[in-house]
Amino acid sequence: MNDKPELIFDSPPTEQDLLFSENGIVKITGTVTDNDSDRDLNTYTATINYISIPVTVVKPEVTTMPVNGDILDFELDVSSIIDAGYFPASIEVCDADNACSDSIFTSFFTTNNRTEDKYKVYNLMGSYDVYSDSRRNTDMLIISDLAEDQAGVDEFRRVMLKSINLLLNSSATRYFEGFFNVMIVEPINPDGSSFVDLTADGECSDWSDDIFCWDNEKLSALEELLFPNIFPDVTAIIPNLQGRGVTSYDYGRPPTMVQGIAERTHRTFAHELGHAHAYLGDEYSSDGEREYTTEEIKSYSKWEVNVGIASTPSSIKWKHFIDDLTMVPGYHATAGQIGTGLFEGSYYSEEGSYRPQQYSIMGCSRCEDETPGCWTSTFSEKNCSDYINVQAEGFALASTENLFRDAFGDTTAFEGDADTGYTGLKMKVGIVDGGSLDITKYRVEWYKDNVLDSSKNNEMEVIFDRPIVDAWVTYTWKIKDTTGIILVPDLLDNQNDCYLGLFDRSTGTFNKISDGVDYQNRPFNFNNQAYDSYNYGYTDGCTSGTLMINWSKYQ
Amino acid sequence: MSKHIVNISILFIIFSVITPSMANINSIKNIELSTEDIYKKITLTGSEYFLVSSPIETVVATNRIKNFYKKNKNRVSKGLYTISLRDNQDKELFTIDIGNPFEIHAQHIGYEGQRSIGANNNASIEFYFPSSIDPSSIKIIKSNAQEINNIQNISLYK
Repeated sequence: MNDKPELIFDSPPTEQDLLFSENGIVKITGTVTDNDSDRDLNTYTATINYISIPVTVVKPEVTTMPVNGDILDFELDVSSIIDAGYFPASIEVCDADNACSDSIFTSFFTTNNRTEDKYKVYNLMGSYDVYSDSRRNTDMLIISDLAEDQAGVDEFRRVMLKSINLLLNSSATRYFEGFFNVMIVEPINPDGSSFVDLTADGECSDWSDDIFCWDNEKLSALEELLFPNIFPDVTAIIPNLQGRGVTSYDYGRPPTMVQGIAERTHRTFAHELGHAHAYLGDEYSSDGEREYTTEEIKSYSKWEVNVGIASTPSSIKWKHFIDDLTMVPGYHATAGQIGTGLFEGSYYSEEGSYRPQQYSIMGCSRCEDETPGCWTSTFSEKNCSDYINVQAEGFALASTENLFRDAFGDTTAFEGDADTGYTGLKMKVGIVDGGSLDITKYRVEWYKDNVLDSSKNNEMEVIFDRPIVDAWVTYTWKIKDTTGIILVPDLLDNQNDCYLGLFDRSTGTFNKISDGVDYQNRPFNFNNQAYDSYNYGYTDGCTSGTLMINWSKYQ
Repeated sequence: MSKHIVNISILFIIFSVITPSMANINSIKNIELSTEDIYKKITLTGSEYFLVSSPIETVVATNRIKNFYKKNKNRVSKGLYTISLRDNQDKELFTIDIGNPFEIHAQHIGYEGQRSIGANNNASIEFYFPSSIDPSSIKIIKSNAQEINNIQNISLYK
């Protein structure tokens, strides 16, 4: 019987490693053994992220080879890979009789590794400037600062990768991977200096003496120098400096998160990203350090997915995650404390504001009865290191919104022309230029006057025939999650069904015949005389876009 | 998916400037501020109740600026505060939702019992608007649920 050849990598890269290519080549060394075949006749094929890539096998000059084996260098040609990411890589070895075996490792394949000025820059996930045919549209920068030497940069990489791995292993991973471009900036010659005059002395605040402070102008200049073609959605700095982490929301800048290197950095990173990306509020107790008025709680929580003021389960904005409205955790005494329900207390107040679960990554207090109790790493790692279902949905809605930004796509146009007559409407889903529909996560539905046309399911661009009667007709695309993460409804006739309208537009934009636009509040009453003066209009729902055509104006 | 808050004034003005009537052409346009090539820029710095304005500056639209507006066009910008640009008759010319730049979120884990959401008294608010607009003053408006509070009036120096 012919034995298969076997390949064992010497030091297989892991989730804690970064792979950089040199001249488009990533090299990995392994030993191939085969007891009963001529190894010189072996053939090798390779894939990265399940896509075939060229591989060249080189026998290095070594003095000692193992018995029945060859030590070989495998040169993986990654030059065709545009999107970086945490990918599985496989090398298959086959002998002359086509007996084969696979060897696999999974690690971070970086792309677009470059130097500019005093910075080393690379893509950790996704891409910048040159995009694949599945463009991601949420941009996050992560910057190493104040590293004194390469060991400091290595420590940054360790913590940064731990933060990214937490997200990749989180409940929100399917709306992180495939949606985020993550670009890394490091010093080429680390010398302990700061790119942005970063300190941990609280000089920018009168209420803390150790929060991080930095120069926003220098940070914006750095972003523009290295990434002139984007406006990042989030910028994160991980300095080699002890201090109190902070996130700022200065307008005209991306939300900016700074966390020092510490045991807990990965959890605070995900917590702050919850604020910056996923419309999440703080669920932990403020311990009375600040009192919010009822009006303030209402106003602040309006913009958050996971903090609400409704005191009954049937009215709370995450009610679609409550399994049984007659037995609600945190609300009914006999329902216990496990699961999604209605738990009183958030950062804003201990009474009159509510959160979905007892503990989460957005709040890990009120655990006096637990063993070992709050604030221990053990407790936090176990109970507060992931997004709960409501939070993961907020994350997913935000990622979806970043990919599908418009009410309709750029190729949307009338069929026919003014001379021969308009015969219909071609409409495209409002996806970002270069984006594509991931059918493992989404399906598309199309509606005419709020009635589903299932014949158009999963089409990104469709044609609607001109109606028989020249009247207002609405055309809608809707993205439907198929992963089970997004459960909230997006009823086309209800602008408040998705987190009380947080993700819906409350108005429509209407193009006036006489030039300019008007704005009308929902629901739109096309029988109102005002609508006679419009050609068309559009608006957006939670995961949908609607175009409204006044066909009487298009003959 | 666009958002609850719409900068009506922005869109109206831009649309009026750049877009002809659509009835006679075979296309349908979504109006975007990012189509502008020249902007005016103002930077406000300070606290919720005391902001200082930079002089109005005319700038060429970079890709960063265009993408900023493109990304924020349909974005929920935690809409507690709005900037309203006014003419010399106090008529609103232009509005921008600016979220909440006046608070900083500090790390809570390891700092239990200490303030973790505090005032940002060095807030920076950098915004752009079409070069055709000529404001005389700025109002900062805070939206508390249904209530609109006018917090600041800032005169602009030209």
